[in-house]
Amino acid sequence: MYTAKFDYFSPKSLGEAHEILKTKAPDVKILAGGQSLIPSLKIRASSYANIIDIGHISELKYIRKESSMLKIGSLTTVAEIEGSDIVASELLILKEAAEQIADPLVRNMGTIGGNLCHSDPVNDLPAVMLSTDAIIAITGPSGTRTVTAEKFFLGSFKTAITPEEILTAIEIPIPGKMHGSTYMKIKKDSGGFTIAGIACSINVDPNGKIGKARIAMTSVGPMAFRAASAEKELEGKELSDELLDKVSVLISKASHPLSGINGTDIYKHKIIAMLAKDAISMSYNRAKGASK
Amino acid sequence: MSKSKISLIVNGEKVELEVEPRKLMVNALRDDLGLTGTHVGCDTTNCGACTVIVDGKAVKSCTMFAVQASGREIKTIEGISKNGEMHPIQKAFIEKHGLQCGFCTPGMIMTSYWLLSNNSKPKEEDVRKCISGNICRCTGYQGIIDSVEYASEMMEKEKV
Repeated sequence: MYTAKFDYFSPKSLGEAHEILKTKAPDVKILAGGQSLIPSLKIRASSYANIIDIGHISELKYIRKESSMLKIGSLTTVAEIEGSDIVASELLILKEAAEQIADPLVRNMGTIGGNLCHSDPVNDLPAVMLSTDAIIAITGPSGTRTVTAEKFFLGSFKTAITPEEILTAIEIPIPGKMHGSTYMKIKKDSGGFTIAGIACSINVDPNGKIGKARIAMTSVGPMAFRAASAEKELEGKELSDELLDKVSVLISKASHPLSGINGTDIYKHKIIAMLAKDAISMSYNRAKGASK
Repeated sequence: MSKSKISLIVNGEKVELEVEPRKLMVNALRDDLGLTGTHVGCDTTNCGACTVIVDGKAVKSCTMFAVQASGREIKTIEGISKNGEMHPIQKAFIEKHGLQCGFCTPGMIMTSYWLLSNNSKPKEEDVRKCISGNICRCTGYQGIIDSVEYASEMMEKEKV
């Protein structure tokens, strides 16, 4: 299948990319790994007069630990995140989410920046960003700005990024001790879209009481979103079966899945409640076991 | 909407191409370079029949523009045999019935080639996970998994 015609630019640096953006915005799209963009262009769900391929900007490809932050360049592939020792030791939830995305061949091309900018409600990484209090770094014509994950995702395929801007990095606070997190999801087959997914991140105090809790969901609403009611319910309490039941109901109530080829809304409500129980107890036990 | 000039290495040889930016890698390989071993299956990033190796990593060439490959090194199914002799993975697919109709085979072999270049002794679980982006509608996968494991044994022996 052929996409609509476009003009192609392949800048070698961020500066060069911004020079091109200045003259071509707004009818322009950034191409990173292309694993969401190219299929969308091929079925002509979208088209742009200008495509700017940032794939050759090597300064955007890194994973590093800087004091208490994990910093990931936007062009880092999902496979690189999946295989990173730093990610495995400092932020297991991100590794777990990465290895569940699509299939290995797609993960070899798809990037974290592309996944976030696409803001497809079925994409897994937005929920992970919400649950880990990630900060998104963006460069534009007037320099660099940062946005919290909470303020970055605005809706289905909508983010706070403007056509003149480029997402350059993701900065995630590295959790301390007594913290546990996990990402769980259901999909039909290897390359299939997420039917429902949940990112959970929990701190516990030495008495086993939950401190900060973050719960965010994939594919059960118009975009990834946090379940504030469930977070509040968990905080200050020890985890029990009764509390899990109560919280899973809150999470199901906060969800607004649509019926579709992957199941009815009723089914998805049940699935998200089940995933919530598993993910919260896994995170809680990990926090008590002090593994990240 | 002018054409772009690109320079890349395909199966060890330097290649210069003039392509429309919207030309997919798989179409450039098949139509411009005559390398028809790489197949177009679903054309929707699902089946993996178009799998090639780009800079050492297996990717779906139906989901990549040829222009993105500029300056990169590509390996296709045509590039893994040496002096007319089949690669051990190819021999193993014949030996262990890793194919029936053969349509998915180039993709399966390229994904296996990538797997074995990173992990010379994969377990069955590793093979299953690695080929999870490649669809075969004939074999039920068991023959393919046996083939990859057999290829790994043959390649280990050749090393000694």
